[in-house]
Amino acid sequence: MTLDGRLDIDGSRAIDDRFSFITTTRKANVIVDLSSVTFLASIGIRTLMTAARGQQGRGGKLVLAAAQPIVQKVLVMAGIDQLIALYDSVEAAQTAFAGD
Amino acid sequence: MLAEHRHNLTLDSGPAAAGEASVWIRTLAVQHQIPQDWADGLDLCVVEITSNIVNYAYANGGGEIHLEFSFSDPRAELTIEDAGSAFDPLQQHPPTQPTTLEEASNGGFGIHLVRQFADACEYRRVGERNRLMVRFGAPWPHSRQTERRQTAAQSFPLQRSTNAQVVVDERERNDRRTLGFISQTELFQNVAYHELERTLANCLVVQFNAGELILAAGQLSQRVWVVIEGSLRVHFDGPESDDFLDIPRGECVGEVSAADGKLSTAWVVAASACTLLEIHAKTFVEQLLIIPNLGRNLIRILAERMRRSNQRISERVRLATELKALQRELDFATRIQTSMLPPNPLLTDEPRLDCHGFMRAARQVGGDFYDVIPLDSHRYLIAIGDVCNKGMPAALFMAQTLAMLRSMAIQEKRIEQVQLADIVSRGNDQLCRMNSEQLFVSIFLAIVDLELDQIRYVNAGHNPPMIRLPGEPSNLIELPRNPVAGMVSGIRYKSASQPFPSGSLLLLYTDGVTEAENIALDQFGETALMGCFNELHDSAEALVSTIVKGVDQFAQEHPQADDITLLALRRLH
Repeated sequence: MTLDGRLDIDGSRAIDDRFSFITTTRKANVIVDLSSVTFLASIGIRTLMTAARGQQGRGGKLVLAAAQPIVQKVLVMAGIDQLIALYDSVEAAQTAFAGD
Repeated sequence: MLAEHRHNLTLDSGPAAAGEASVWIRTLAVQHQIPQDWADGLDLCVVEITSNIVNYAYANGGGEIHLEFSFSDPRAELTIEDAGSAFDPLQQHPPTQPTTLEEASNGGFGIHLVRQFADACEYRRVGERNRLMVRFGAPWPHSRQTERRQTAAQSFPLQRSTNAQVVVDERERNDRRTLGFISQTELFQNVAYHELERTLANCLVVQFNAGELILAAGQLSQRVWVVIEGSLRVHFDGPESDDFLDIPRGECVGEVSAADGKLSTAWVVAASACTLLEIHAKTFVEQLLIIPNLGRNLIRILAERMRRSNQRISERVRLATELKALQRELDFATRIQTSMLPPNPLLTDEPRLDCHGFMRAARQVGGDFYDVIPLDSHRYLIAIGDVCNKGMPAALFMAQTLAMLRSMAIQEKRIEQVQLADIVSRGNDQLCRMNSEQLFVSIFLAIVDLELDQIRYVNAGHNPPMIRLPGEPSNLIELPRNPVAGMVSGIRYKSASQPFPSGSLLLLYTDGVTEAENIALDQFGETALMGCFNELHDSAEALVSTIVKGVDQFAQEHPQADDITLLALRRLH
């Protein structure tokens, strides 16, 4: 699935329910395409973490792909990349899932 | 002096505040052509700080948030004030790095991100207001730090300390991940990401296998290693000594040598497979140590390590003292055990017998013994024994055995018809009851009767003694055989007798004599012992001394593995 815009308070609130519904109601391999996300705040980290944990609880996996440099930097600095796999591109994430 | 631009904004605390602040700062960034990475960082800071104020400072009602932005190339400052109760967000601990998704916390990242993105953060309580200032770019010119930062700043291409050139920043994901982790380690805590990023770009990430030696004592290391994965051990006495300090993930080694330029005093070994960030000493000293928070962190780490090291030293002193006390007790034990055996010369009141004993323990105390006890005017009890095992347990069991033999000998003195086999059978039962450690003892026990000119003996699993009767060749007393004592109770031991007229010679020995080894691990052997026994000697003492010399010459420098015990008995007339 693809997110776009700013994942700040408003952005997170806007997508929270739908995002968590789509990503966690059934077991799946979910790739979150971050290429159009221009900004990630700590509230957005919470959204991503909650979804990743929910999907893991279902036995599936949620990964992140194609983050812009500023978003990537925030994810790395918060150590999120050590908990949720982070791929350079959606294709790379697909390849990784295909390999599992 | 360059122009300074100031802008102010006052917001009502509420759900829209963070968004409004974000739009405001973005607009100003465009207006002043502020670089993109600063703009992103400022946006992040203003959103995080404003959200915190809305959610916490004014959680119970509205209030105003004042923002001030000032830009004066090469720096941008953002000041945010609220009238909530006093709260310094910079005092909050950064979130600890979880290892799994389950244990990860959802929150706590906001102020951590602010701290990492900005070059400086400062909190002040001003009157009734909280004031948080974040700065991007160089500090004010009057600060001494400006010069340092200018020399520390690096641009590509840059020269590595190893003279290698780095033309572009080619860090892969792993390196970026490393940077993310590093900013959370103790050493780099509260150090702005920007200040590290440029320097750490030059550093190598190196891997070691478990057990690999990373640094030896006496080496000039010129490197500082930060543990990113796995852990290290610092050994002080040698790379394989049991005495070491653990250096867990997030801590560093080599910083002392790097700072003072002296040789390493310890061995650093990988405790597990590990990944380390390797920082050259020059980089560490000239670019990292000058960062104020880093210097403070390092002092804290060193202080903590010194405290651990002091504890270790006092523990060592305590152990050394205990060891000394034990050593003293062991010396006592040696003396006591030696004094338990009858001293030479033996049987000085009996002109018909010439007797000499010898015992040399392999350790400080041993499990071998011999004994000579007069029963009456013409009968003597002689014994030799060997407790399996060595050291203190064997010595204590040997003392038990010896005490038991002696108490029985006293009882048997009154009995005319001595049933030697019964003594050993009862002794065995008694030893079995006292034997919690499952030790056992081989014993050769004999009563020499000078009126009957014979010896009656029981051999409980011991080496066969050597005997030579006048005018006859030497022999081993091999039969009857019996099991060793102390293991199984209820055994009926068998005795036998053997003539022992004037001119007879008897030699009791333990396997420490025949099984003494030389450097090639050959054994002294029964034949060599028999050779010594067949030589003509003036006295029992001379025979014993010949054997001991023979064994020592054979073994040379090879350490004695087992107790060596001998008892020689000559019938003079």
